[in-house]
Amino acid sequence: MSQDTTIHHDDALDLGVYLALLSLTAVTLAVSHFTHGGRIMAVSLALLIASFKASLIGFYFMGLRRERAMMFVILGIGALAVLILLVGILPDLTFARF
Amino acid sequence: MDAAITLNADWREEEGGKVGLWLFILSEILLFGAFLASYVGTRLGNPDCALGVVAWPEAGHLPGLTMAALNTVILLTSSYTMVRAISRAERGDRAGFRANLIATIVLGLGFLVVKSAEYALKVSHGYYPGSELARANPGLSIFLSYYYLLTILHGLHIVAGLIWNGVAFYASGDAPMPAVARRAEYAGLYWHFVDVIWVFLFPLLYLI
Repeated sequence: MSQDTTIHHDDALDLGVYLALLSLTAVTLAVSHFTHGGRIMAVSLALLIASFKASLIGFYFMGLRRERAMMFVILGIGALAVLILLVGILPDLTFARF
Repeated sequence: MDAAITLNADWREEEGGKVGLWLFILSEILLFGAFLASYVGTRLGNPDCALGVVAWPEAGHLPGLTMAALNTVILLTSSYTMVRAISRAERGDRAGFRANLIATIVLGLGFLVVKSAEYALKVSHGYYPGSELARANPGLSIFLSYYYLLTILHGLHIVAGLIWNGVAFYASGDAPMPAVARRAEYAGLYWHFVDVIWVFLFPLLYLI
């Protein structure tokens, strides 16, 4: 077994990402509270912020920024599948109203 | 020559393990993605359980939301302590690694305690499938089914992550630090993924 270990993490950067994640959680709560009457907009914003938080965790905490293209292909397959599941149901929702 | 072969074998083992773990995460994305897509479709398409209708009635809403927000902070903090554990392992600091991993495990247990308290609160207000309140409100019943399914499924992943972290802690006693760092990285990838799932569950279940 190799005795050399590459150091991937920067303490200051990790702390900055953690504080950003906490701040974005507060923003998520604030957005949901201050958009009465515009809930779909609130949902869209909440999901947008959640996606940004997930990207921060993925890129910095999970180390995606250092990974090879193969990992992005794997994740892309998952994202595409979920997108198909989400979008695929929209025609039914649209036509069911008529 | 032998050293080159050993290094190549190490590289292949590390890369193979990492690709395998990302493929496992892909299967988890598909699992949660299917349930979440179904949930969003239901909330969009069912007038009794539609967007714009606050899913939780007023009673107990704020304490439940507070607990969920607290759990978000707990999980994000546990991800941070996990990153610190991996960082310490990479630097060869065994004591630092073990202290941060213990903190991660304690925070994970804290998440489960808060979640249990939240379930007790919801059940005390009649927010469970089959209750009189749910029978009188079909939309609420549908929502509650999704809520318990998704949060219990996520909770089981937390339990699995805690076991994985516990094994990584147990195995770190006298193992060489490069091996400890590699195990910590794999356990960390899974733990962070469980955190990412919660990042999506929180607004979808509590804020719409």
